[in-house]
Amino acid sequence: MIHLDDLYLSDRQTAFYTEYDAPPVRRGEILRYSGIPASFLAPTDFGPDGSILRLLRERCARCGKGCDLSMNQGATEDCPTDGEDLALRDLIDEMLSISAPHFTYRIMYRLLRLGETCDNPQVRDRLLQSADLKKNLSGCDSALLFAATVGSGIDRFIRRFEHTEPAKALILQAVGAERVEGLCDRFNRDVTDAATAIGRKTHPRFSPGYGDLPLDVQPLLLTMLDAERRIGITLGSNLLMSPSKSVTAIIGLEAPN
Amino acid sequence: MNILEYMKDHFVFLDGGMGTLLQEAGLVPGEYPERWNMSHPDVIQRIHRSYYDAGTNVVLTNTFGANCFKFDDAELAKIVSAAYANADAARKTSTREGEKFVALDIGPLGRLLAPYGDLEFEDAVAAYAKTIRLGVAAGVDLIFIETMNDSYDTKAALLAAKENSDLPVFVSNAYGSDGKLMTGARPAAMVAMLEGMHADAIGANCSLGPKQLIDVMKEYLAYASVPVLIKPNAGLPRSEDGKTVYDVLPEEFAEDIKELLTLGVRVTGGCCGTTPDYIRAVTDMAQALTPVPVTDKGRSLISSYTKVVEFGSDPILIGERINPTGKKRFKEALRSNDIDYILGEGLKQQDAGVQVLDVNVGLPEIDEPAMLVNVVKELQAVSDLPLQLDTTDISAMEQGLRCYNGKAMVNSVNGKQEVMDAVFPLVAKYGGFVVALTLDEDGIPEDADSRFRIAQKIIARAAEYGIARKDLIFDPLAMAISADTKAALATIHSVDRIRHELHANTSLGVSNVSFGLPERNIVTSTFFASVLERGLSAAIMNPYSVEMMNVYYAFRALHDLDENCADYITYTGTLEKMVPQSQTIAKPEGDSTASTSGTSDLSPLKNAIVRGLKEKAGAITAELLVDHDPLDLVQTEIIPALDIVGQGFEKKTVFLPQLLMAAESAKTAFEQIKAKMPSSENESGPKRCSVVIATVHGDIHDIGKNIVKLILENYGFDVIDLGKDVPAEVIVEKAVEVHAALVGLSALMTTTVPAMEETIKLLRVDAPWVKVAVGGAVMTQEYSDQIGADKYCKDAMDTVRYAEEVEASLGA
Repeated sequence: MIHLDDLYLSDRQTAFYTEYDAPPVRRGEILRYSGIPASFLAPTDFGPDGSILRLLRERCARCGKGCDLSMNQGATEDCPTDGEDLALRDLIDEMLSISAPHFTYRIMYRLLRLGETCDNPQVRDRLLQSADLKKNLSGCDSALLFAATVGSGIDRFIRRFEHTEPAKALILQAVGAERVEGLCDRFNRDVTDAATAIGRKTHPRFSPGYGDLPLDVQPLLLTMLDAERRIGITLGSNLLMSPSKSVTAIIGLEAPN
Repeated sequence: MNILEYMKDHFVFLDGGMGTLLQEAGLVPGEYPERWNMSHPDVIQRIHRSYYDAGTNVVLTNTFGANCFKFDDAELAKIVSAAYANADAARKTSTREGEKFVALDIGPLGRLLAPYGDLEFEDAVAAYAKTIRLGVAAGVDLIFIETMNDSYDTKAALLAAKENSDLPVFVSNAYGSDGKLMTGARPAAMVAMLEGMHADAIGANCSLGPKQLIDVMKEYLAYASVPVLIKPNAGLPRSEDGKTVYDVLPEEFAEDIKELLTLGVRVTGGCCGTTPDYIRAVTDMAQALTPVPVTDKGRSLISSYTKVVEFGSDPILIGERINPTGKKRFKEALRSNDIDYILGEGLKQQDAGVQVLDVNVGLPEIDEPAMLVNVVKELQAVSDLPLQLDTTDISAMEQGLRCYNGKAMVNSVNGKQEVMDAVFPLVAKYGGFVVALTLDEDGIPEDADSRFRIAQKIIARAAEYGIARKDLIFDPLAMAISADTKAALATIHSVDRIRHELHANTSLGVSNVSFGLPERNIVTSTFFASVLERGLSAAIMNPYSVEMMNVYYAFRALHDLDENCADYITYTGTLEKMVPQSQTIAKPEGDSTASTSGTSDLSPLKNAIVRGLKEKAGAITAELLVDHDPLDLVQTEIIPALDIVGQGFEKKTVFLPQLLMAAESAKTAFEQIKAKMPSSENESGPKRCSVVIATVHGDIHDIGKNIVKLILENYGFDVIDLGKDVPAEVIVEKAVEVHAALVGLSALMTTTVPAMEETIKLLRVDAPWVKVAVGGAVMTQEYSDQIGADKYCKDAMDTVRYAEEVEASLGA
């Protein structure tokens, strides 16, 4: 639970920890992150495996041999692709099941006031040097900073497979990306709910690397969030985070009318 | 009085939180608290003194983040000496009676170690050493390493402490709510490693309150034979009425600590959110308690970065396959530095069910220390099994132990004086669980009595080096019964006596026993059952032997080591699965998949490759090789299948995951073909031109480059992969050396595009003939033109097509 109202009572902000259970898996996102174009992955009515089934249907339609693998009706005599995508589905299942026990869903967050009462004007000013972020935050009197990570377990799995079985590494990359984005979405929803409860509106979250907000604000953000000590996010000299499936972001908060 | 002497009969009380008190005194978020040692010595001394006054025995200097990555050498020296002076002044002015010590506080460097981060292990050791030497020079009484959330980083800090001081060292790790370190280690794994390296007290601090850490503490107390410490937070922080408050108050905190002290914890204090009031409540409470004696738990442990393996009544399987002896393909892999092959051998054995991997990479013509270090680092990056370092080269053994992330098994020492005096000091320093062969200057004794006496001698000598019996495992040597039919009996009796009279562990390389006999598996597995019955604790063995695995699982089920026979049942399930698989392999022409899913005009092998069915592709190839020419298979089956997928990819009917799955299936087929002609030059068809590929300097992600490599190799190109983060000079040097036709450069980040440009410039000067293709997440045609590349390749197939083009132009 995020008590935004409490955060607003304080003059001096500190970073807080929260953790989540595994968010529901979105297989379509995994496919998208692994290189299958979004055009194949629009929302469908195919249920939890919808994206794969849609993929099958599209292919069958294009092929024109008259079968529809998405409906489990099996292939016709001369179907050129039979079963291939089921191998992919199995691979995704396997990667999801081996990696699942190794994810942790951890977040550090803190409030940053943007106006007169800001307790850390240097950080605020550094962030607002980015015109794109400034635009994103227009109308906001404050912002929630957060760092999220799903842990280093996935990095070991990726490394294990990247030289010997790159298909698995690719899927694991995609699974990791989907997991951390899922965590961010879950947290973002809580923030939005908490904001709504006190008459505030949230803006879309914004991360270093988007637009003109450079990666070199990462050390500042991670320090503000005590993310290294509390949830183990470290920065390399190239400013990339380890564990690699980690995200830092800023959610603008509009003052109540 | 020395802290260790004091600790023998007393609880040791540490201090509480520093950060929150400094913030109350005006420290601004983002400001380095370590600088306050110089700018606000009065504040620091006051806080230290208030802890001593509350009953603290050991105050930690205000040096948590004092390291050479945050401060230059001159400032670091000032910080450490001022920090000690502040603590020492507080000690001298405190009015409370009692023993008072000053500990040099060492926190993590804030950088993740390679291979997951970019800080090399030895650089981390060197960085910790700097601060530690300054602390020792200042005059601290002990070193306190704390809040470490990674086992490898913890090892670096402890090693630095041991190499740069003779002071006592306390080590404390930060556990998450899942009871593990951030990088996965459970408490028992940390106990194994830290005790092996002779830390003087070990335990946990920060992250959680005392209640949430109780299971972590119980695990420490069950495994540790040294004093256990806890320095928890005042529960969890939350924001209340605009202030950060912790949810456990001093009285409740003291009650929670009381429970932990009653369980056996000997050293305690507080971390975030605790104040002198908390410490006072704890010391007041503890006056009524008597310390629980610290006892030797006698547990034989080894560990990886996350796991612990215990030796005793439940037999441990040690996979023997990472070893060049008698293996042509493995020797070839060592000579050509084919680490992937070696890793593959390790991972396959892990899948087959071993708990430890033996690592032997000794060949006369290679640099064994360098190879062992490389293999250890790579293996521990991908496998969570503990390793057994198997070498007779003392330098290799030392370097391997040094870079190992955990407590390793060491293979081996024996009763020879010279060998013991070389191996034991390494084990004493780095920790280890040592295989001791019962042979000495006079060779291998024939009888069990003499082997028993050598074991006794080894135990005595090890003790002189401070190595306990629990850290030895005796190998009484299995000898061939084909040479002497009494040989197996001598070994069986030796196992029995060492286990039951010396109460020590035993291990055997069991397969030697059947050397020279037909149907060796029958003899070996029966012998294995006999020695297990006599109490064998571990076997170095071949996990692909079904007979051996049968004995292992059946033995465990019969000896009440397998609850509900669950492991046995799971194992038999894998056996059943293997049967139908071998049946399909036996009749590839009948192609079952084609019949279930409609006939396809593709041949079974093409079909398997196109669909990405790896095992199947390998099995069909093996079958076809019986009566087909290998090169013919490449030309008529594998390459055409790859083309189908490649064209599909170009037409966007097949996507990256499927392309990769097909490529891997083709690779499995190639492996079969290679195995068929191991010595030949033309391994997979006529060699095509050389392509050097690399991810450029500064860029550390290389999955895209690996994909390009795989696909190029599939198409028969001679790919030299230089890896990631490769300096321009190295790429140029290699391109010149092999006279490469094409260089492929990959960059993930815009920030490394300049490194790419620099590489291209250098190539134009030193290797003017070479074509340069660029790709990667940030690359565009525009960038490519700007930096003077010959070609922008948008994906792996694009690179193949370009390589073919370059090759054709060379031929023309």
